[in-house]
Amino acid sequence: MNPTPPARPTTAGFAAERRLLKAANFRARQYWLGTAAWIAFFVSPIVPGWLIGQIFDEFERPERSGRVWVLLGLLLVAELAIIWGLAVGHRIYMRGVESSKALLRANVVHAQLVSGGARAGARNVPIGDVLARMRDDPFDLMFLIDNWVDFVGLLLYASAASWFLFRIDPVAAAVAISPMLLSGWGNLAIAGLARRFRERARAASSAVSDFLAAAFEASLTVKVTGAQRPVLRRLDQLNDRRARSAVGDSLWNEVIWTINGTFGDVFVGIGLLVAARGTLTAGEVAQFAAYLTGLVWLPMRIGGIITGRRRYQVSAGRVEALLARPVDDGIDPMVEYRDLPVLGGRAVAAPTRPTRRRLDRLTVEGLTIESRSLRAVSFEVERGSLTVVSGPVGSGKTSLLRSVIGLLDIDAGRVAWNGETIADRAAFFTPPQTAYVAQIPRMFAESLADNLRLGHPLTDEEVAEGIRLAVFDDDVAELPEGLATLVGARGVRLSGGQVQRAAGARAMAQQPELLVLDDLTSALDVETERILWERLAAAGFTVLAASNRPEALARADRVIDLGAAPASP
Amino acid sequence: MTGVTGVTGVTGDGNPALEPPSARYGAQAMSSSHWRLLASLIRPHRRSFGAHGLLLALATVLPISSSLLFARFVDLAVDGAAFGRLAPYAIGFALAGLGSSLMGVLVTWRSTVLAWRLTNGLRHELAAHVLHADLSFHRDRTPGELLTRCDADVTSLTSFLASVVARIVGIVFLAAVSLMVLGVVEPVIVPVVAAGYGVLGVVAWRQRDVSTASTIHERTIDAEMNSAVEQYLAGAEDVAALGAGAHGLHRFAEPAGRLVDAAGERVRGEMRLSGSIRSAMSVTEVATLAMGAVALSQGWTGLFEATLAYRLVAVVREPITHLTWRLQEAQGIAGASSRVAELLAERRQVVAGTAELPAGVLDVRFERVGLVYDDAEEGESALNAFELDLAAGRVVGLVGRTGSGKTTVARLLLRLVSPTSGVLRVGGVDVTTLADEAFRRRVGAIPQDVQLFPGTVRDNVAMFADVDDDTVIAALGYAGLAGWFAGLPAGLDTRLSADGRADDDADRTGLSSGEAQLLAIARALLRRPDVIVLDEATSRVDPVTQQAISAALGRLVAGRTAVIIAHRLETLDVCDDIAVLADGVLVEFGPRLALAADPTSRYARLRAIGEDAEELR
Repeated sequence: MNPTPPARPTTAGFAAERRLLKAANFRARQYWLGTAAWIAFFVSPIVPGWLIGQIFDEFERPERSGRVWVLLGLLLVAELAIIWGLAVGHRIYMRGVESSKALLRANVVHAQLVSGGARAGARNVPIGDVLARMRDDPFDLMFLIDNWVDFVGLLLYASAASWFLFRIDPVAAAVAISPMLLSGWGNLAIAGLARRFRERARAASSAVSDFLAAAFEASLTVKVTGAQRPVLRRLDQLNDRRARSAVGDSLWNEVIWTINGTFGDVFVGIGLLVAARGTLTAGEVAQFAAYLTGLVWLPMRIGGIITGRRRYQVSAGRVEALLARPVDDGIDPMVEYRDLPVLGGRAVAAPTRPTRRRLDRLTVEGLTIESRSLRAVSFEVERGSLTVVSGPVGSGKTSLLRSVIGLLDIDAGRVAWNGETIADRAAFFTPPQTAYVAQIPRMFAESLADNLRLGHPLTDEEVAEGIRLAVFDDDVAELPEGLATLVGARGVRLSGGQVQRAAGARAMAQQPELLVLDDLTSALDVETERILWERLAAAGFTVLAASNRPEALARADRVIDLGAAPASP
Repeated sequence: MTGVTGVTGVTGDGNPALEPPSARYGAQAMSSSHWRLLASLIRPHRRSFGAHGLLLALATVLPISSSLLFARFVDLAVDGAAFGRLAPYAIGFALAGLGSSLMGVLVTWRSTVLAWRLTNGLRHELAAHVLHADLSFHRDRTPGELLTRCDADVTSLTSFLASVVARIVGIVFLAAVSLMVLGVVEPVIVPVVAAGYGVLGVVAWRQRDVSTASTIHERTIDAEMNSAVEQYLAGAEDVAALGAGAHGLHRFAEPAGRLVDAAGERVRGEMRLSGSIRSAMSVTEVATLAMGAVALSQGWTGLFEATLAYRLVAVVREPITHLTWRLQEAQGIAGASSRVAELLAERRQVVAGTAELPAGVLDVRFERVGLVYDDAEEGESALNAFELDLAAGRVVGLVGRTGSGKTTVARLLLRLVSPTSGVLRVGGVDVTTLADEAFRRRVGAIPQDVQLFPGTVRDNVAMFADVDDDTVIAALGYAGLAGWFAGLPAGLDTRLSADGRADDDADRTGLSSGEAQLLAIARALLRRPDVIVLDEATSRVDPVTQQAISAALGRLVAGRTAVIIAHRLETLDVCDDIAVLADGVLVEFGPRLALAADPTSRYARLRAIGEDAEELR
């Protein structure tokens, strides 16, 4: 639906940060309170560092006063305050960040499920991939502004620490701090290398996931064919490859951490070496050690921001591919709250139901999809008639139905409702205008009633009528809790025929102007099928159906045979 | 379902996701099982762990020596020592720092390698468990859920082992060595530091599971959210065509909102644990300084010893602080490993033995076989004293309405379930006594839904076994796919995709549903089974394709004992016999032609109703 891939998201200026802050502001109070706590945490080591310097100066003095005890008491209070202040602050921060991630995810879900219109996202990414993007990419996106918080905090700390260090010995301070810039540069070099390892590790990791997913999906096939051993052997090969690349990946990450964590001592040593030309007190040495150790983290954060921007480009690109084509309405579909149900408690509005538009005549003209061998198909559906599309597998029955209601793009042709051409078919062909039953319909793991309503404000009578029309009434009566029965993976498993009839009931309960049925009766016996067609006819439905069944063909007012020689262009 | 849940303690019926978390996991039940799983993971690799421990012990030398150098530097500097005397200590300190960095990288590398070795073993074991599991196991679990166990959960175990367990061991070594050094230099301060570490150890141990329950809770909600999203994405066309996008979004948003709360709870627990550990460390540090102050004022000790004591605590504190940022992984692990342990603990309903099958074509005999599914309601049996005698090489068609027991017969014959009464014999041997591998080689099946793997055509036909190309191509030819194969761009190396939404399957894989069925026939042919079961294998195929498949089916069942289930009666024209089932009981059995000729037979009446009848009224 979205053939042109979106341009690579820009990070020019502070475009990326500005966008992400919109997501951060989704729960602004929590986010900024938490951010303040984090910045305070980064700046705070100035206090214990200074206190330790003072304590060591006290150690050095031959005549000792009670001052050392006051300093020790202050040190304990300061350290505990820092620890528990962050404990509270971090929790607030995380709630803010998690809310922002939920917003990013909600925008993806919304775009993927909405039918047609400017807000619909392209549905051409495999589900596993969509889920993976929803899991990982919000994390990678928030990683960028996460690094900014750390950077700002550390920059403030570094300024204060440098001021103290320069007061002790400006030359030593300058000599010790300058190689840190070098380490910052080293960080970037390693980060580039690390990224390549990361990409390789990701690819190896998805190879394992994809294979496992397929093997588990087909687990009974594997079991019945007794193919466990070769399948597991393949898994082992993929596992080994993944282990090798993962070791490389985490190794480089750890190199960055380790270098920054322990290189501090190298700079302390250099600083002390230079400072040794003059006289030093014990307190000054202790302060040197404390402040320089903390400073080393700053260059790493600059690297973090650069990495974060690169990750942003990748992740934002991956997310945007799932979202709608950008609309010029001033609202960013990725990071801004639109008409989402509110996360965390508040209720959701029912689907917005368009107003009913009576169907007198549906016109399909010159409908062409080259790749599905549909060429210039034209027909009309009159109100109250049954139109059956027939033809062998691969002749395009399903594609024809799906393209009429906008689930498939067409190369040429038009579809008109009472003569009026419908431009955005996906947005238009929804209840109460049309209702569609797919060849292999989906039921969801929730109660049968929820499955039949799908959020639409249907009355109990309308639902019951849908069930009756779809000849699903006997089945419902036999279910342990009737309409309240939970169906799907964790509830009652419906048989193939039951799923088809339930999907039929779901569509018919909408009392649509046009009912579109793709091979609805394929799993029904002749008797049930006969009843179904009779009930639909009696209810006066306008039906467009794909079927090869004799019963359907016999009842059809019009048959469109796609198996016949294709109309020459 | 109850049979399985009895073993695992997972809730019986209904939706476990809807029940309060306390019902699903007792806080107590967790805490021991995951530590036990960890221990059992480590046990077979004791030796590697020993070597790794040695490396960790070696790694303590550098921070200890840097502390000694630092303390000496302070001592000399305060005495006003000349630059020439101070310089070696400053340089030594810097070099020790550099050495620590390199050592740290080495330790990380070894830890990661070890962790992956361990957990890839576990992944294999889990996958094997799942692939050998029977029907009752799969009825309770979605493939996505199993994937999370085998993939995400095991991976979190890996990172826990690599970055938490290895670090803890390193810290313990470092603390022990630093105490010994301090004991040699200044024994007076040792009790204070030792007491501090003791308190820290107790605090950390007692609170080790402080956010386990909330982490599990969070993951449960996360899984709930994901499966909601997954199923709505899978049904995105239905949702779009029925204007139900907002409904699907609501199904996502509800758990997503709860997820934020759960994350907050989890972080609270994590911060309590890491805060406690860091507080204990701060108290130890201040107490060490205080003890130094006391010792100095009493003249027991000098500045060197007091500084050294402080530095030795500082070098232990550094990795502990680093570790507290990794504790999230430790908390996640508890949930992950107990879920993994739970999965591994699930037993199979189907029992296998060691008996072998006789050579040649096999006969099949159901002797008063009964089956009650473990999730069936009281007195509801799927099959009741079912009798069927199928001579070697006969092809029987099973007919009956939905729920009559046809599929149960297929499942029994494929040993996906075991009879709850009576005996099923294949080749005269009770199937429950047969060795699994031998059994699978001889009894094959073609399912209704053909599953494809991401991989080559060769892998998909041979199911990853080593089979030479000619054999694979011959099987494709026999199955009627010669034309399709000729059109493949890369022959047997052409890659198929298992993924894709229903609508795009045909495009993505280059296989129509009919061709997929033929591929399944090729799969079965390649294994040359003696007994073959077809459960609605051709129901999704139109009459034209049906003819192509019928030819392939004829070749497949020739010379084999076969059971065919199909509601389309023309599919059964290859059958020698027909068996009619009703309510789990065999109500009619005989040669197909004889039954068709007898107008009073159920089969003949069925044929009269229509070509395509499933139900008997």
